[in-house]
Amino acid sequence: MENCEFYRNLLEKLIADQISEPENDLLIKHLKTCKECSELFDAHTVLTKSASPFEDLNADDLQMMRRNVLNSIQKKQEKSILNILQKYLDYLRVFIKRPELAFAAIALMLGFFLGRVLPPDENGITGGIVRQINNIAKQNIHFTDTQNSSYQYSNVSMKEIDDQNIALSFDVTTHLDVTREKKDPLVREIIAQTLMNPEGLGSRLKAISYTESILDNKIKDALIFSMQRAPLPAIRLKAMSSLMNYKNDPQVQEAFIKVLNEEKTIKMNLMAIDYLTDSNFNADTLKSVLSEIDPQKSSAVFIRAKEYIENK
Amino acid sequence: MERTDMELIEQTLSGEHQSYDALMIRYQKLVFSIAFGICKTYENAMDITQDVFLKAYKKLDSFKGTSTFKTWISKISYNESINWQKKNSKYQDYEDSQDFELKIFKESNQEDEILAKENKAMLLRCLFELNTKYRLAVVLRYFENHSIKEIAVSMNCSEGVVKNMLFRSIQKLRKNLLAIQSGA
Repeated sequence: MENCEFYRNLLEKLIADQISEPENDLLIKHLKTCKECSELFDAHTVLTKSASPFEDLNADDLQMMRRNVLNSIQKKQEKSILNILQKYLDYLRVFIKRPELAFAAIALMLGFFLGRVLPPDENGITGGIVRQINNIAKQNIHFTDTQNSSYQYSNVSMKEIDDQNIALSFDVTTHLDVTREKKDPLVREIIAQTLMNPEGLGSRLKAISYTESILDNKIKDALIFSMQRAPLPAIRLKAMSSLMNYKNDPQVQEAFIKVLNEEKTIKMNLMAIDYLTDSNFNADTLKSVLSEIDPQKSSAVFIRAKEYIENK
Repeated sequence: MERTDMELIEQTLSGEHQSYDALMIRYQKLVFSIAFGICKTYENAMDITQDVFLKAYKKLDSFKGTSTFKTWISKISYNESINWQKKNSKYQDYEDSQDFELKIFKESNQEDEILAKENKAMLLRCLFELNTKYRLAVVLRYFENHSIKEIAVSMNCSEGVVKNMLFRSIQKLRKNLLAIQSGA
């Protein structure tokens, strides 16, 4: 008998459907002479040609099986929804046990809802301005009316909400002519704002000139701001002149020390030295600051500083 | 045009249960044959089939398509059937072969159908001579047209082991299968 071990391997390949054509030819040739291998081959063939015993399963049983599966899936989903509802009911029970929590939650939700739904407060300051500009807008019929309107709109953005509505966001300014006492808070407010306004050189200088007769903390702060931050030396100098009226003021003294350390304008440095030397500023501290002045900065400033140091 | 397995899966996951029904119709015989191959009783195989499809539904979103759905569900069927067998091996009823033949095979008075039924019954009896794993390998290879690779994946073993199981099964069943061939 031929080496059946080799052909058993080929049979195994055949059963696994992994046999090549040359191998298959070899095997077929062997089967003609080997009864045992031939029987194995035939057994394999019987299985290959047999219909599946599960081909004609009972259709009703299968349908019932599938129905059971789908019903089970449906029930689980319904249970899942019930579980979610149950969870919310549990939360509700917490609120019932702690009514203060419930009230807080309701108040929060109500506030949020009202804030989103209700129109702006017409009785407040904003409401008052809105009413005024509405009235003016109604009165402005022609283009020239709008051009000459007392209200100016800037920083405008618009968004269409729907076919009927547009959301408007804007700044509104209006020109007013009023007369007030110098000590009036409105006067100080407007002067302070003007001093901090980076634009309007003329208005800033004018505002500074009015501060010379007004001693006020708000204005003092605005003057210090201008002295330190104004881009033009003329404004910084003018502000400093006005600050000279605040005698022995620690805040002004500190600001003037900063001038000596940082400011390049010679006149401002000389003014700082004059102010500080005439004030109650600590002499030793001033000596120390003045001794650090670099002669390269300005000979005039250096000499003034040296005079003070030598005389004190 | 027939929907692909992936399309049915996606539709099932989006809530269309009828798509899952279509998927079950496509693979119910495969799942049943694996279950029956292991538990050997009709009712239990039907119960296991139901459990397999429920489990498959729960895990459906984890099916990424790296293997075929056929392989994927075969693996679940195999695992569920083996688990069932472990739990119920002490109490397993071995059905009388005539009982399960009655349940599986439809009634007929046609001679050719009767003959076919006889052959199928003999085939099943042959299969019952094998142990569980060998039987399953034969079912998957010859009746469900699984490749050796697919069988290996389903049964968590190597391809070499599968080939060996199949060859040994043929060796064992040689005489009975030849009897079917000769019409005895």
